[in-house]
Amino acid sequence: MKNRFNGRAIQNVIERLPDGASKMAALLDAIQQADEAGELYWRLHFRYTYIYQATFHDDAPKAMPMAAEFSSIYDGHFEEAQRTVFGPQAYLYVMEMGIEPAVRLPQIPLEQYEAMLAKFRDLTRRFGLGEQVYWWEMFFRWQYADIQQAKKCLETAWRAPKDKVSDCVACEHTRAAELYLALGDRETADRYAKPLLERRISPCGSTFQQLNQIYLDDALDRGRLDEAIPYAQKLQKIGERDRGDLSYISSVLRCWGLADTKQALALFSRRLEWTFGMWDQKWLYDFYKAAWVCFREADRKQLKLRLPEKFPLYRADGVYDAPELAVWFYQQAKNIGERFDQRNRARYFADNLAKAMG
Amino acid sequence: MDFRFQVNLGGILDVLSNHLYKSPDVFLRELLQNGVDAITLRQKQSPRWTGGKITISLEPGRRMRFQDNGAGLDEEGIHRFLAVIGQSSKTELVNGRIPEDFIGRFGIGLLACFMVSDTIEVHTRPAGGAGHVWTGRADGTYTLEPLEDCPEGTGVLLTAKPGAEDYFQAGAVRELVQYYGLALPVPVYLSGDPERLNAIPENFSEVSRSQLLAFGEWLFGDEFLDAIPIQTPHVSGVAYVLPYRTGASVKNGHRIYLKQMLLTEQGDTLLPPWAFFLRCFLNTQGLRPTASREDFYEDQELDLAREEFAQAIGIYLAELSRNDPERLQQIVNVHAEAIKAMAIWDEDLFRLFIDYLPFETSEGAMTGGALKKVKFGAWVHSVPKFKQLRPVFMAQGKLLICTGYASDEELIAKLAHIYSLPLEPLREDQMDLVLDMPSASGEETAFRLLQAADHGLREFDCRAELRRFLPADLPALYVISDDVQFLRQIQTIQDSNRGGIFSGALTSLLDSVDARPLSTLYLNQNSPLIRQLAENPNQTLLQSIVRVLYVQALMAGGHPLRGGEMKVLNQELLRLVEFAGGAGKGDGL
Repeated sequence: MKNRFNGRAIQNVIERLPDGASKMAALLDAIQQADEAGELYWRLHFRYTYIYQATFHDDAPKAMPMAAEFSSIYDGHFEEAQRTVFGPQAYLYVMEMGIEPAVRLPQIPLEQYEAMLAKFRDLTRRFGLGEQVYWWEMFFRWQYADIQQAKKCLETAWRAPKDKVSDCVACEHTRAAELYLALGDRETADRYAKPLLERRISPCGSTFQQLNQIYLDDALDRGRLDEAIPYAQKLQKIGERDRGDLSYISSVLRCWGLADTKQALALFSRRLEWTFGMWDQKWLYDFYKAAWVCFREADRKQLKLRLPEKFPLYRADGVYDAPELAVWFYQQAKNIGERFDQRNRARYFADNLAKAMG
Repeated sequence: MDFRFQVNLGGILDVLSNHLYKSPDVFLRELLQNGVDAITLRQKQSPRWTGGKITISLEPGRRMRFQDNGAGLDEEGIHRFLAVIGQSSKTELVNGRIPEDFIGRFGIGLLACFMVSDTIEVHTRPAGGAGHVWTGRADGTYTLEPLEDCPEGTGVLLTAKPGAEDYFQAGAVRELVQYYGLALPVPVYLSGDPERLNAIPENFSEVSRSQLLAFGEWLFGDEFLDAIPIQTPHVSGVAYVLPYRTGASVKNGHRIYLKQMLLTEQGDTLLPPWAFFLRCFLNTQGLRPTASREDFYEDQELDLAREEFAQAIGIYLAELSRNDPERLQQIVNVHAEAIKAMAIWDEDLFRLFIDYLPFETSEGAMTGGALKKVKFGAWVHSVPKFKQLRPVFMAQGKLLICTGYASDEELIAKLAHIYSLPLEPLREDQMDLVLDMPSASGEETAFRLLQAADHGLREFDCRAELRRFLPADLPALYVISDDVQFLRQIQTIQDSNRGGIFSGALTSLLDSVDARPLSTLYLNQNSPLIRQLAENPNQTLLQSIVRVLYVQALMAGGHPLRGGEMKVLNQELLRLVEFAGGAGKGDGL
């Protein structure tokens, strides 16, 4: 049995699959085969790839149990794992991708979240790597709770030494731009965004999606639809690749909800399916909030929509009442927002939802 | 109190010349660029003058003279433009804009020569002016002296520094000129050789297909399937269709020029993501280069260029579908994956290609055209699930489409939507499509079996249901939704890793689920084994067998086994063996 396992061949097949759900289903299969064969490298490799896929192309919280498996296997074979390519660097990446979703899961109490961050801090000290990443994780911890604390973490992260596990520089700049937009400091935000636009900093696969999104959200929050539309047009072209793009889609949906009902309904109908089974509560919140705006602003009361049967308000005749949908989505967004604010002991989401009141 | 930064000029030069660029090769690109710009400027000053050319003289392995006959610099220009980093004669605004016909912009290009030479000697003379020799050194110092015998234009003299001798050989220079300057409008010659190094067609849309293909073969060394001429306001050139299948992650080594000067081999910035089936030779206009001149600046013009390119490819392929459908089919056969990605991107292209595109189904490969004619079909987005369910669908003559491959799910959903086709995604709660309800009498007979099954499977968060389905030799089918699968995964890791870094958070996740969703084990009433079990009154025996069927169905479906499940299989098999041997009588079996 062991001799027949060919991790490389499986990997080649998986690489051909689209990012997201398909690749993750195949990876689960590959993980089982690698476990049965007892091939440590491939057990770690397929899990690492699954975690990466969940984080960047599907539903980030799905990385968490897999990161737990990875760490369990890694710790159980520490010496051997160190000899593979999975050195401390990969281990810390995995921990980072496993812990980060906690910011998006209000069902995880703050104490547990902070305990995970503290353990991550211990790991960075143990390996002498990743101090900067730790401060970015702290930035996330405060992002939806206390923006001034988040700013302090960002400043500490900039001062911390860069090393092999440091984040993508382009993402760091985008985060900074987002923070300064939230603080109302457009000039500083632009200063962080500029080197990305000029490609003086190499962009990653999500840089331009993120940049367009943060400027789009900022324009919408300020009620500047004229500024928002070009960002939405651009973002829709590049930000509808897989479920991992649900957040971008939500920003676009909110914009079309205000500017173009027809486009908004088409986008909503096409992407509602992506929310089913989604664990990431922040993304659900974003989508529900955008859908609320979309139906609240709809140009007619009765809407003919082709929605999946799994949708709780599904109607076989396809005729929906826009105000009813608006109320439902508002309630969903509000509920999630309240859970976040309660967990974070903050009122970020209450304020955020108020900004979408119009 | 104001202070000024202290600048280590030598260090700055080192950074700019040795770290800004990816390879020393670019020194020749920078020289070509400066030469062409000087000639362009002279043409502007004397519109009737058309004799611009560049000549490169070599003392092989030792020295090079790069001579243009464009507008030379006067003394003031030398001080301003050769000696001040970041200053470029090309950035002087004309009517408030940077003139579009100059390639360079940053005034640091000449420094690239320090990568191959410790000194840069520039002999330059403007029309009707005096000649000068400027000598710059890598430590940041320079000298300027009059030069009497100096032709009009500019000559740059370089001396090979140790390790850079190869760049001063005729073969290397020829190769680099053709690489960086193939598309330049100014002829470039090696001294003593009358053959122009950089001759290519001016307008590719007027060149025959066979000539384009021959050019592509010469340039890239491939016999391409097709050549697509591109002529738009921002982009002109040829997109070659690769003769072999390739993937999105493969870099195709394009030649992308900005104003006839090679900018990059990477297509990521300009070309759409589906263009991985193409290898392009493109010249661009009106776009802004980044400081290193190795990529484009992200702006509105770049967006337009991208759209123009994508439209040009779409229009060409649309024409091909009308005029030469066989060739289009040939392209689709090789590049289905890329064409599928294109078809997602654009609805017109979708309508154009969908009939040609192949999809994996339970009845073998079917094109979109064939799928338009089916009476009903379901699609499943995971390859392992497709493999698990394919025999069930095949046995029942029902169509299952695998959308687990790149772009397929989007295309099939779009196909169903646009043409109102009876194609639907298969979900775990919609298995009735292939699983018929049992007969009333059969359900009654199987009551004890189902009861035992529910009892035996409770610890696995699984329930049993009786259905009728084909193939009849499949006794049980395990079906799990993504939600249940994720919860199973959390439970599995919790079982084996209590106390780990994620343990508390995972427990909170599990606790947050109000009603734990159950997976389903469908027992097949058509199966002789299940019918036989339905008649058996021994509850303990039934529980054991159902638990074995459960684990077997898990394995058949490619689902990872939780810690306790393999143990259950072993335990129950042992009990069954004991029962068969008569030992189980005292144990209730």
